[in-house]
Amino acid sequence: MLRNWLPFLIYGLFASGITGLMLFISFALSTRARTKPAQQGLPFESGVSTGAPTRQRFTIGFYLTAMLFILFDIEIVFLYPLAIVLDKLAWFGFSELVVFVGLLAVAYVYVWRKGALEWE
Amino acid sequence: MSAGNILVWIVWFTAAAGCIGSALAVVALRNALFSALALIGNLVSLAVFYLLLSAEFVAAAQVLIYAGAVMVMFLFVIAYVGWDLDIAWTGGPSWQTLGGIVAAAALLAELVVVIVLGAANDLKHSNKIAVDFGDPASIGRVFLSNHLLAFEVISIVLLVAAIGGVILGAQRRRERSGGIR
Amino acid sequence: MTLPLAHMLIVAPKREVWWIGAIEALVILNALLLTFAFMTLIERKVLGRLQLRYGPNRAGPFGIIQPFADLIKLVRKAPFQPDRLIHPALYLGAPVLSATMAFLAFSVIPWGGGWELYGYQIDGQVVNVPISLVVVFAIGSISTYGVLIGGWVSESKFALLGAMRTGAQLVSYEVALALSVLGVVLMARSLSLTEIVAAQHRTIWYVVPQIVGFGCFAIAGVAEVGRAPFDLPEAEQELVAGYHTEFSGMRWGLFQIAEYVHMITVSALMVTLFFGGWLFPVLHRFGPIWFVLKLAIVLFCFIWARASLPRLRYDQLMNLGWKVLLPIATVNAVATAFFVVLR
Repeated sequence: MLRNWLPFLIYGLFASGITGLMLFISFALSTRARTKPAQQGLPFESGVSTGAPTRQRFTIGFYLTAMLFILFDIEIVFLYPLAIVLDKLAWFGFSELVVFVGLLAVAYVYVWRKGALEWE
Repeated sequence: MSAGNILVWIVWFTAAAGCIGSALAVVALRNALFSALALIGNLVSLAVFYLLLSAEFVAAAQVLIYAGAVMVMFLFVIAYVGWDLDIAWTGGPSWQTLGGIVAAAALLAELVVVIVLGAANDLKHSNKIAVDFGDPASIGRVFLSNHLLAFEVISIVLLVAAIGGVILGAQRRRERSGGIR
Repeated sequence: MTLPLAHMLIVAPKREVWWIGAIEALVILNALLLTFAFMTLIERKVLGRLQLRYGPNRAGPFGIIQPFADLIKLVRKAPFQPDRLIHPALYLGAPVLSATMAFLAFSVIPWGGGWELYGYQIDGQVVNVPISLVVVFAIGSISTYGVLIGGWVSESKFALLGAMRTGAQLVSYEVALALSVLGVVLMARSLSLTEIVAAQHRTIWYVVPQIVGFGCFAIAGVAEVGRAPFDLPEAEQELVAGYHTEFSGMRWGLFQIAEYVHMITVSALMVTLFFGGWLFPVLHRFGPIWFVLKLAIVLFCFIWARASLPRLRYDQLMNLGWKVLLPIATVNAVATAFFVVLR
């Protein structure tokens, strides 16, 4: 079984090698200004930006989205193995699937009703 | 030892070194964001172990859920709390430090005892792994036979998690509506 | 007709030698890079034509060496970094991570049936594992971090905002993407892309029975790669350039490569899951040619969509993902399960 993953390893090494090489080339072949302009390193665009809003917080909506993402990701990972053998399990498997999805549908409706899906 | 075995050992040692190194980094780094990034590396290296144990679906699920989903939520939670570099963690109450040391020592002792006394013979590598071990179809069959109750309980756990998360989030939203979108 | 094909697909006569796999990996990586280079040209040409202008036509006939001119320009750019960088290694690592993960996701896509040449087995895909579909999603979820780290580390308002929005968009649509595929998995009874292609050959292209799943997949796929009309992260009117605002030269180029290779991968996935992959009712031997033809059509549709559709607002985007695509994909999966069991 591990033999199947050998090309993955090789391909991954090549892929990271190529991207790393591109980064290296961009430093090796690039032009460099003799004197560094004073404003070059400031955050981009129009000179009005004063950097990242580090002292501020992001809205809770991002957290809610990520949490829902975990829930449904877990659902998907559990449904995939089930989906493969569903035809052999017949109606027993189907009823289990419906119960599983049904309970998550309850969670989904709850989350919707509570307004966690809203982006105002 | 064949070339394939050597390769497996190389991958194993790389993953093990990455695992221990990133785990140390999670604890040692003072900035929450760097810790979170190190934790991603740790979870990915665990997936490599699963893969080497012939559990490829579990490995993919590990990357998908832990390294992918859970850590995105960590990052977003850190973004919610505010990614402030100036405020570093200065240590919790002393009983937490003590508890952490005790728990780590207990875990270490347990591992040593199990490996040295109990499982020394069982841990030798055996090739008696079924052909369909770890493939999604056999996992699906196991879900709906031996572990049916666990499978259905998981959906209830997910339901509870959704409710809990929304309650926490909605409360925060009422307290301070605002923040950057 | 079916027998030799099944032979080609399942009972590979020999195992591929590892160095042939390595050559194949190199060929595929370079093919991806070339496709990326010419996609940038074709996109500008097609966009130009759709807006009644010429597009690039100065560098070579039909602007054919424009991509190489672009490449030289990108490589030669002065490598300056923002002063207020959080961490230089992360600043350089984020684009490399993005591009590497984009390349890696393509490795499991099958593009041919496999051949025997001078006694050596050559497989029609680089990595053939039984869970290849999940591998694509797993790698896709990792590539989110390239965006998040890149935006966060450059310590700029626009980059940070763009990164957060992109992160939320990617995770939202990954759910819809993975759920819309569930119908295909149910019908093919496999997570292996090779098997899914073979199953479509035995029955019918899944775009017919899974038309709803296909619709969800197409929309979620466009959103997942952040292309118009879902290119919110790069909404230049409000966010300048999103998460890669502070990147320039080849560091920016790597993000660009990541975006285009993601687009190619999602298109290839679409071809594989819904349009029979490299197989066509006739002339199986030309598998890669069919594959490339189908891929080109899907890629053209990506550009077409960019030219024709207005960009969504951010709340509309999230609503579409969570309130429309997710329920539809779930209902589609349950309905498919019902019919699979019924039969």
